[in-house]
Amino acid sequence: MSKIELLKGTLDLLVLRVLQSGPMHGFGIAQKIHFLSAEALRIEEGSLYPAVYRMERKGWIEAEWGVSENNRRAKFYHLTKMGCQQLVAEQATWKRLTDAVGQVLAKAD
Amino acid sequence: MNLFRVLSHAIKSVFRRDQVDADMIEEMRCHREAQIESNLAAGLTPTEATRVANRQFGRIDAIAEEGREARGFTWLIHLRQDLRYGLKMLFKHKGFSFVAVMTLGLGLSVNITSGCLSLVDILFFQPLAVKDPHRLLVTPRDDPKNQLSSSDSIRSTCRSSVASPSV
Repeated sequence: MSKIELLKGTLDLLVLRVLQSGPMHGFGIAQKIHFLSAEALRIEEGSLYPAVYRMERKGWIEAEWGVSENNRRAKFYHLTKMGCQQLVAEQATWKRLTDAVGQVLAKAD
Repeated sequence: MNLFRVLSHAIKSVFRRDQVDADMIEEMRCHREAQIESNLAAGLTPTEATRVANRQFGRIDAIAEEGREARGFTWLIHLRQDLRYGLKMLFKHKGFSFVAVMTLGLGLSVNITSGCLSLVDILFFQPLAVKDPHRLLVTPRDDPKNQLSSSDSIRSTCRSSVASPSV
């Protein structure tokens, strides 16, 4: 099974969307993406954490330490107001992109 | 609000770097443990679970380095490190530092004061480099309110001051 390469910025979109339903720690985010994509996407920690720290720096998400479901210490991330706006913008961009690519693929005869 | 956040982030990244780094390592450790637990729940043996988790996680140093870079302000961190090293070296070789500072200081101060003096001299004290500078007039600009225009006033002044007829 070959790896699917996500386009740059798509991981940000996925993380923001996952966090829209509530605060979550890094492991939970990776698990949820893996589960929701029917195991097609496995986010490696080497890509997840740099992306998360980058988004934290831009102010889209904020972090605080907490206790996870298994009574284990974890850092929970949640969306900020700026993050919500960014999510909406990125979803719109994604839709435009996929529509455009789809159109070219469908009509290129 | 945005500037405040950027500033606080910069200060944390640069001056609380150790704590932020430790935080990151701790976070990754917790993630790894959660991964091991999930592997165990999926039915792997403990050794297998640890091995798979380690493999999935990859090289933690590389990830930590990327995490640090993603936080940004690396240029500021490097600048701070370089400054500290430079200062340490200066204090280590006090004789050399003293000579260097005195040379720079004396050279700069002499040049600056002489430069300023000559500037002030040219602006305020030297007469202008024209023939008969004391006969220069300042004329007002042409103004609709004035009855005379500036060209009229120059002609009348010249006529009154020049004794001999014009050549």
